[in-house]
Amino acid sequence: MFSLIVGFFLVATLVLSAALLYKKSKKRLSVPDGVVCLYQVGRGPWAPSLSPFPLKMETFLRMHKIPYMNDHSGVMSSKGKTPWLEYNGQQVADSQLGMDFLVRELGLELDLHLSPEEAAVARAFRELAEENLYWTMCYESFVKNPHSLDILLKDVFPPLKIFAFKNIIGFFVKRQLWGQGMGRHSDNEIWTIGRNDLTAISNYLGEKEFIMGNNPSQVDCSLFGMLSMVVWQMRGSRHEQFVHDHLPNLVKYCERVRDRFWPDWEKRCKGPEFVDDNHKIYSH
Amino acid sequence: MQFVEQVTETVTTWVSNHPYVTTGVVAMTAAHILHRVAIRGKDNLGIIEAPPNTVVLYQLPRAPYTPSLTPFAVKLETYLRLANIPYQNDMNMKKSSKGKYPWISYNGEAVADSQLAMEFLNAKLRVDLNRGLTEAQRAQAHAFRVMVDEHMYWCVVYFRWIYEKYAHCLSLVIPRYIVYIMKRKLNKQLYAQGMGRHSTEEITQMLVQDLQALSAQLGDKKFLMGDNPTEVDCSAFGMLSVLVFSSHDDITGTMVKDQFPSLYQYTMRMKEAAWPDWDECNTKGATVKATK
Repeated sequence: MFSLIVGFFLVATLVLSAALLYKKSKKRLSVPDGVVCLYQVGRGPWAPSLSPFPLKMETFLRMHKIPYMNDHSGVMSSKGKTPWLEYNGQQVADSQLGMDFLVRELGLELDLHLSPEEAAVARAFRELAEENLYWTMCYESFVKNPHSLDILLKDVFPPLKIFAFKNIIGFFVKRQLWGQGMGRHSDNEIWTIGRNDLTAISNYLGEKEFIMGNNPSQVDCSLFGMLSMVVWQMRGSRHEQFVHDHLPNLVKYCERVRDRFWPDWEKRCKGPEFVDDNHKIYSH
Repeated sequence: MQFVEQVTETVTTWVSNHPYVTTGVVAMTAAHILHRVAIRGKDNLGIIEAPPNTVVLYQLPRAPYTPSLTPFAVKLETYLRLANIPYQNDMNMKKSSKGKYPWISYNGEAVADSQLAMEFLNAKLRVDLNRGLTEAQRAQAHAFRVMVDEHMYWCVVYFRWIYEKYAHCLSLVIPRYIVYIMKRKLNKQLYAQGMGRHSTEEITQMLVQDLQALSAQLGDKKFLMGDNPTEVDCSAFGMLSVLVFSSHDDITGTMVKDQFPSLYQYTMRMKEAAWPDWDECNTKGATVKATK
């Protein structure tokens, strides 16, 4: 009897916590034709997203002046992740697949200023950021210093949701880290990997305005998404300290991309000037 | 107190009603605990004695068509050969402290993970296959290395273990039931990493795009960064050799040879540069014993 009661409460807590975080939409959102709907997790306190990938996608939409609106409810994609998009009734999960889809649908001429060799290098740097550096950042935030999430989410989520986020998402992130491989390394090894990745991006960027030269390319959306977290939103992390102390060109790079594509930055961060833009249509 | 008595009574009744299940559970738990106690301690990695300043490379036995089933062992062994570092192989299936292959020991010190092993040896032996590259070129090479090892790799894992229904190469050397167990494990890893959430078409497209990027980076050059092989060539060759020689599915089987001839020739070039004894380092489709 006793074990039944305990079991019931445990299961109930887990289910409630998961429900707080993982939502499937009950009714379909009405999205106007010709407007992309970007489903994401919500604005951050010091950057327009809590996560690098929605920021990557939204920067891309702005870069190419694609009409779009945001849905900040945190609804997950068919692949169980976020962000994802909907366009003229079609849903596409995954940030890169979503961007590739829009390029085809809208006939976008992407990165015309890049030679095939440069496009190859751009791809390599995108994967460096998204498939390697990203995992070191997950480790730093969810495993090494989960208290940083309390600081990050203080004015963004209610306390119960912060608790659920840290523990439930943290549980899945740790499992992902192990499966992906990064989680098998020691703390020092993971930090060295992260530091080497940040240094490589900085060394390749050098004095250039954007990673591939004087004009922005698609890869800048990825790098900006990832590096914005490091520069502004990973307070107290080794990544943040290292970039500010040793890689000032990366900080300036983020500021440059921010100033170019996010003139409304302060309104899109959950600070004193925040203005909710849920379902607001951006047309250019 | 009454509660404790109740619980004890419930448990005792259950145990006497289910003696076999109880014995089984207790026996398995005891065996598991004994096993965990037995394998504790670094000596249980199985580090062997080797001549001083000789690397011991712990990896899987020679594979049907390549020196190893895993691209990372081919990568690491290619690096040792190109850097002229004395080494010997231990192919007794000893897993690293991180549960994977390959790994090395050097003068008794173990290092798990191919990339960390290379960085360790670079520092210890003052080896630098990347000498001659500028800082920006090193950064570029680093990015391509990560693309191959952390992205392309998962496409290859998908095709090798999940898409190819009977995992031809693997079934030649690993019993079917172990292939089945490993498939389940790798499915979980693929899902965790993210690649496993995509469709076959999407994964194929990602692999093709990675190969296009490698091909564009190679261009007309002999090796990825110029006239001489560098560290990134070890990674690229590891991955390409597995794709070229060990793929038997209808999508990736001849993908490199048919769609990326320059990468195919590059693979042959690296094979000649680092593996003149290639034919002695595989089992020719599990028909002979590899001599090296």
